[in-house]
Amino acid sequence: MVVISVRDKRRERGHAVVELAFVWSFLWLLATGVYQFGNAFYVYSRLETAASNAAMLASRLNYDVSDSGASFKTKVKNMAVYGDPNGGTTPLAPNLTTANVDVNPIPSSFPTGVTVTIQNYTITNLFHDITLTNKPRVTVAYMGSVVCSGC
Amino acid sequence: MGGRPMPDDTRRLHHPGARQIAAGQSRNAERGFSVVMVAVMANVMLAGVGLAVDIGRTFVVHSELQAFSDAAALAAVRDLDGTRTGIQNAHTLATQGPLGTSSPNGINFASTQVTTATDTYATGFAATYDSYATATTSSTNQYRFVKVVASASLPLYFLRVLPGVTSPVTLQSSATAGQQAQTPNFSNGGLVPFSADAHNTTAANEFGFTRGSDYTLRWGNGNTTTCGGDSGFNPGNVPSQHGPVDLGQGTGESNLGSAIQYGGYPNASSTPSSVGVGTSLLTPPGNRGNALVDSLASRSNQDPDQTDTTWDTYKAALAAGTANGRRVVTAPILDPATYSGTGSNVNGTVIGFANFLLAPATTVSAAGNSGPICATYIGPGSLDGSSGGTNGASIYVSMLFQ
Repeated sequence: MVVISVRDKRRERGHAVVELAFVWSFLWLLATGVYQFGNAFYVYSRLETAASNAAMLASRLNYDVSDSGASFKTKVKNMAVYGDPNGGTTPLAPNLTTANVDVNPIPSSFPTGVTVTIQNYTITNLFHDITLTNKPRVTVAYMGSVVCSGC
Repeated sequence: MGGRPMPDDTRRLHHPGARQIAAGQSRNAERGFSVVMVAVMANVMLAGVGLAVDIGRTFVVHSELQAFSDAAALAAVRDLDGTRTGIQNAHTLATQGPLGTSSPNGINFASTQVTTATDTYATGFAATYDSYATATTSSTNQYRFVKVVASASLPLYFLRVLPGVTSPVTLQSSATAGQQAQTPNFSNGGLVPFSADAHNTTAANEFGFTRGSDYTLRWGNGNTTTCGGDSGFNPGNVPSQHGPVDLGQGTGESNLGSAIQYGGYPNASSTPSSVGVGTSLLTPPGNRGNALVDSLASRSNQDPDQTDTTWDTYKAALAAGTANGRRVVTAPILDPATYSGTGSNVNGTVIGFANFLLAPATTVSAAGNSGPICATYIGPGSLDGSSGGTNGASIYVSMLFQ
């Protein structure tokens, strides 16, 4: 039989503890990294889809010059945040608000295009938050009717 | 049992002199096993990281590509007006996206412009899609559908280490947009309160109108006109200075002027609430004062392009971004044989819709109170400026099909 001394056993246990600490740290970093990136990409993809759907709505929505497009912008922002031009309670992405959505008719008088931009949105992560600056953004041709409800 | 060493380790351990060697070999075997385990686990972990990073990026870029394709197809389809230049303008938008390169719908977190988009054209959604080269061989066509396919090459950072996974991968998205004839009755407020007299009551023949010719939106005193397309055409026993119609806005100067400048009629709360083939519209005679011509001039003046007078040059200005489409209007077409009634209660029957290009504001104003107002016939009614269709019985609207 192989005789292993008590000292050897303690030394091996010590090695095992150190190895476990290294391996555990590595696995923890790996797992949190996977979560960080996975969550960031998932949320960004949700925002991209939200901006795209809002832009598609904007391309056909009536643009009211009597309020300088304010009601138009409100509906497009609601579409981006809640998936509903009339608003809602549950945003499509965590903590997304209408303040994070910029709707820019180009030009503002009689638009021929509309850009929907997600601005200053922060993706909340475990250790490192990511703030998106003016992205994602989607531009569409404007093909709706310019109306004047107050004229 | 002695003599030749046995392959079985347990048997070797019975040899007293072999104990230390066997223990060392066992350690070596464990190390070998660890190396294999590390190699296997490294691949498993890389696959996990790859799923999070590479697949995550793939989803993001694919979403961006789809947004590009949708916006490009929708922008391109409204340029299909049955001409070669219409296809050429559509091609630019289909491959660059709306507003050209000034506001690209980029990929890779909006950092890279899409450069590999192809466009094909068809006369119907389920019809054969022709390449851009084929679509532009003829000077005229009936294309009303465009399909945009965009692709992008995406390198994989982690998944590439796995066997059988190649990098980069090619991502692709497609979108099909078309000009769809709307339901017979129209009620979303995109019409102007003018009409034109049909020369031919068959809507499929575009009412006998010729694209590019001028037709009368309001006839002059005694039903005279100087509009070239109506030269020699006798509208028959119709009210003097006819042309304006009541889409629900009323016949007062103020309401008429507002409807001319901003549309809004018919709508759900107006009478009529919708207009379609067969609808009888009130055609109030008389010049309606300065309000009518001034309002039409204001409508024309909403467009920054006040120089182009033909559809070909105007649509080039649209493509260049120097026109905004406000001079393009959709009006009902009436059958002059159906006019009936007397005084202020004369009605005519709608047989279809058509698009017209308004003249520059100064030209419109020159008509004055009693002169004829002319506009250039573009094609069958379309809320988006032009149409590759030929049936004037409905109004075409550009929309995404797939």
